[in-house]
Amino acid sequence: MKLIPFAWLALLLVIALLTPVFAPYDPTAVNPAQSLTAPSSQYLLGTDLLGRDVYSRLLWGTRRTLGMALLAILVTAVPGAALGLAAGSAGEGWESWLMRGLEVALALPQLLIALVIVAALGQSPWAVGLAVGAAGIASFARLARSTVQQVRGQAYVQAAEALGMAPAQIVLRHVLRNIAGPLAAFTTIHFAWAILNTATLSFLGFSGSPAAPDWGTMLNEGRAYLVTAPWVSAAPGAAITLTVLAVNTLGGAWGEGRHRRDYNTVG
Amino acid sequence: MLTYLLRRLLAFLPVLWATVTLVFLALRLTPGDPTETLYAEAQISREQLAANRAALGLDRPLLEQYASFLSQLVRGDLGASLFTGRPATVTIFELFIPTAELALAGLTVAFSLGLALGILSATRPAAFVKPFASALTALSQSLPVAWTGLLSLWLTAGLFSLNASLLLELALPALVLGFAIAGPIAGVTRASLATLQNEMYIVAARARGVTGWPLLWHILRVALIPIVNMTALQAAFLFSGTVVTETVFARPGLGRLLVDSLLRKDFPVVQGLVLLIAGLYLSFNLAADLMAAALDPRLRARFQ
Repeated sequence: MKLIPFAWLALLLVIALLTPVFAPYDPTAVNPAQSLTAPSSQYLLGTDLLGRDVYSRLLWGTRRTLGMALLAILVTAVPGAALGLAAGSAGEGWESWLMRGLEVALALPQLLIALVIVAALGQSPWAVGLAVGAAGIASFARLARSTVQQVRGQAYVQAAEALGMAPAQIVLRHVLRNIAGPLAAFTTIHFAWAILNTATLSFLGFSGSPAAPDWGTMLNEGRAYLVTAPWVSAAPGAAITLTVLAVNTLGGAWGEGRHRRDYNTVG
Repeated sequence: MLTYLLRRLLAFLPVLWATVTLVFLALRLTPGDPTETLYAEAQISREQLAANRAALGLDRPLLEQYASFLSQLVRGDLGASLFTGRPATVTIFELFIPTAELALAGLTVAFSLGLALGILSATRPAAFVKPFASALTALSQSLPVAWTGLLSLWLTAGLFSLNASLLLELALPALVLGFAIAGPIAGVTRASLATLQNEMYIVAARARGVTGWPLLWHILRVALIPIVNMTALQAAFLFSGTVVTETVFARPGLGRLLVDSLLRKDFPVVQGLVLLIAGLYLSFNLAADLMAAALDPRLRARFQ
């Protein structure tokens, strides 16, 4: 069951790393004579308004799209896990302060936080990745904290405490190891959101120059000639959908119902 | 009950203060200034630019600006938009109306579709229904709204004439948004029903011979709590503006207003919107808790 999504993501990774091998054309080469031609054997997914090959742009876009999403998940998961561990294992006073801070961040939709940050940082793929990543930290931290608390109630942690083990050592030796599974699940779910959120910000024009393609930007480019040349946005639209679907499938049924206070729709 | 409500409402204040302060600082401490966008095209001299900054109060020390912002805020005044000169409250309120319209329509679609999909995939009335419902649920959580919006426009472009009727202006975006939100609601519904099916009081009801709709209602009453929670969260999201849907369907709304105001650094409007959105999230959360208590008597103990 998990083979197909895994194969899809592996394929994307290979494409992202070895784009020049697969892409038949220069993704930025303008050819007005071939404006908006339908998919054919020459142009597998047709061409856009400027006569650029949509297939080549899609392949080149893989790198930027996945790059932004990977940057975002790094920025979300590392501080998120650290904050969650800290909030879950620190003493009473610290914990309530950390939670109050998270409460403020969680009172706003992730897209709003990302928009404020990206508007401040300026328009570039780096800004999009950073903004989307930072917007997810609070939600990740809260999920991490709740698993830490479950583990802390376990007998082996209490035994380690009773034996006089240092708190930091308990966290690293026992807690971290036992929340690794759920943390991996949160990371997968957040990664799916990161793809959707970064694509959305690119769609809105925040990832900078439209010459260098990413899927969200391409989706937006096709808007103007949706009826005459649907392939221009169909290709990136399908690519985003399949990738998010693959990540969600790998994340498994975990997401269902359990992250209800963290569910992040982008519309 | 009343003291509980008051306590919850009082707890809003520090959160609202913190969010609006953070945004106030984020807007002013980052590079870029509303006057730059204002005068980028107009080619106005440096002296005039400085005079305009002074007129807008942007040259005063940060702390002074913050103090006057707060003192205006407690009197219910968000200040005037730096671009249109109209009060931010008026601009926000005007665009809140189309936003609320779309939010209500989208929420209706999402709740009915999500509940139906969730019940179908939990109760399996026929063999083919369950994978179908699960597939729709998964798709709903994977399709970007920008793409479903464009797809729906493309599909209907052939069916209807280009001057879309009022029905299409609202129905199509509502369907697109509703579908995107139906997925998470369906997921919660299924998970909630699945865990409850083995509860003792359900087993007991079955043993007494309760079946069909009465049994489903018996389960749903408690199962609705997480569903209501999720719906409230999504409602807050819809009521705070949906920029992608508004962009795709060229609809006026708070989402577009937020992005445009952020891009040109229209401080009063952004601050007002952030305050509104945070308030909406907190209120919908509170509403969900109150509704949960109405549905499940065991939760009412919390209110004492």
